[in-house]
Amino acid sequence: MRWESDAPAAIAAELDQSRALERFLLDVERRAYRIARIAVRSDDDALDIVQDAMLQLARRYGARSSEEWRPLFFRILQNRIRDCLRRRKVRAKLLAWLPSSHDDREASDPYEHVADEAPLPTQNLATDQAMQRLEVALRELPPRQQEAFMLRNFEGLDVAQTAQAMRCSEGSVKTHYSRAVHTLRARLDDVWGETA
Amino acid sequence: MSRTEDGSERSALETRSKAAFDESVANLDGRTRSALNQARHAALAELEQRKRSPLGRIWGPLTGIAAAAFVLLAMFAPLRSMLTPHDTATQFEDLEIVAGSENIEMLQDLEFYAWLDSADVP
Repeated sequence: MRWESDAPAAIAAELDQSRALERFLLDVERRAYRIARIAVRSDDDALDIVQDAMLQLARRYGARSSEEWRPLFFRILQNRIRDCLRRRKVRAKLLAWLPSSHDDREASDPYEHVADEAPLPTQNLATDQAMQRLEVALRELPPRQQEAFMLRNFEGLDVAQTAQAMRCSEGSVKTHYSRAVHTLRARLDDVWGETA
Repeated sequence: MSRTEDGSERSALETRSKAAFDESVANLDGRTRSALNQARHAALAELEQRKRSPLGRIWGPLTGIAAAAFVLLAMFAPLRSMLTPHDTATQFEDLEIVAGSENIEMLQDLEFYAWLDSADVP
């Protein structure tokens, strides 16, 4: 019977798919965590975001071709980052209405003035300090420019993949990225510019 | 200037910021690595579960029904084997008593019989 002869091949294909997904997640998980960490400024929130993105990828797109995973994974990741930041804004607005928060009525991001939870244990202090300045500069960028810069430069997605992850046109990606580089260069020229 | 994978030129800012980012990734602490490891395994377990689920959807209810049938058999099979022919005859007699027309009248006077039972009648 046909299904009997196909069964081992199907099992082998499933195993290959599992291994491919494991390799993919192993490859992207740390960079994804750092990207989320830069965006949301909280270790726990960044871990939750990456974990959720992994689960969603496996649940929804696990059966898809492995070539599609990278832009899909980063699309989910960016959506989760946006959800997290949105929740914080809503929470801040609600807290502003509470009687106990008379002194702080502005509905701002509560993490805006919070220092990073822990310094990164980098060996090179100069690189560490430069990275911290980059993170501050990245946070000051408009969200879409920040996304474009991190996906293109840090994750190494090409323009088409970045457009897929950001759900916008390739032209928009180029514009966001170009503006992000221009702003960062102006702010960090003394650290990483051509003249540094 | 350096070049990216797609051939476009990279400025010093892009090259150096990428190097600093990669270094921060390489220096992630053990707690975070462990948490990411667990998250990855959870995602892979999810994938495995999704693969099994089409079959699980068919076998799940059938297994439940079979288990319920087994429990019923396990409960009542020993009772059946314990019943003697006398018990079976008694069961039929009980049924006759309950179903008899005169006993319907008795059921209507239950309060009287309850009083009779509790009263100290010689």
